[in-house]
Amino acid sequence: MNEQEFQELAAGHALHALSADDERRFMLASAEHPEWRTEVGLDEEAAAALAAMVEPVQPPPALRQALLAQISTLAQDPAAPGDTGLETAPPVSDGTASESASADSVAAAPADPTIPD
Amino acid sequence: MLVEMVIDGLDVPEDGSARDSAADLLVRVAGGDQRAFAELYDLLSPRVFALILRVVVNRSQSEEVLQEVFLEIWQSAARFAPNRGQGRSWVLTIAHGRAVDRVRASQSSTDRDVRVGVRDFVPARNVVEEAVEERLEGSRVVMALSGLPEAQQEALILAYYGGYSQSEISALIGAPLGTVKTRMRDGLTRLRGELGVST
Repeated sequence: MNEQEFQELAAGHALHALSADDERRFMLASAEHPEWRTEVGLDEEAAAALAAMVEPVQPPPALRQALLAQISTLAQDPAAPGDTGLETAPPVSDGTASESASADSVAAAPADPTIPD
Repeated sequence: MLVEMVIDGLDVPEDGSARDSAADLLVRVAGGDQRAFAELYDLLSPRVFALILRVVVNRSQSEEVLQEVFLEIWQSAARFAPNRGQGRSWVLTIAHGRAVDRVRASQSSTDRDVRVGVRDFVPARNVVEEAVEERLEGSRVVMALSGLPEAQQEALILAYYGGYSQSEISALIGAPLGTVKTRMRDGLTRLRGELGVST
């Protein structure tokens, strides 16, 4: 893959719009070419700016309480030594073990207005 | 007079320097600070929830995704590198990824919002509780996006707010996949230029 191809994939990656195959190609190339990654961060920043287009919406207060209760017992991941610099990459749909674990803990503790503070 | 703009935790004084309070909070969260986590939640959750709702549409699913997002932030805050980007963008990127995963996985994808015009996003003028700065930032992005050719706007909005993949967009609008990829790349490059996103 040349850099131009990579940068084309990077735009789709920043918008979470790549097919699974293209996402894999992107991640492989990104691991091989750390020097191409500066642009990736800028793409992600520009994509994230699009979130300012909608009016903020206050989530239900019960959700905040549930979250604060959950994190008080939830272990944190250490910083990865072989950090790829792509820490903002979205979770892939087939998921890693730790992601399924966090999804399970969510399912086990739904937002419930009866949860005490 | 020094006018300060506060945009979801990004303080932007007139001199252009910025103190990223979301980034400061993330660093504390990475150290296990639960109070910082609560502050970060209070600072960003209305914006994050609005984004998720727009992509996922279904309210109870959106609440689940919001919960997933903040649990992931708690768990992986150590991977946020303050020297490589803004805290707010880092959080929004995680939120967008999770929201898109949810619409792709759910059978309700036919309910997805397919409105693509920038005019659908013009921020409401009369929401009293909405901070002036929030509206300014929203208008700035709408303005920036309006400067792009319509085909590029469409590609960006369908991907970001519709949660559609490049091949889905290609089928939706009847354009070749290569064209969609190019429009997305060119559109994002132009948006970076309009918004002044640079190293």
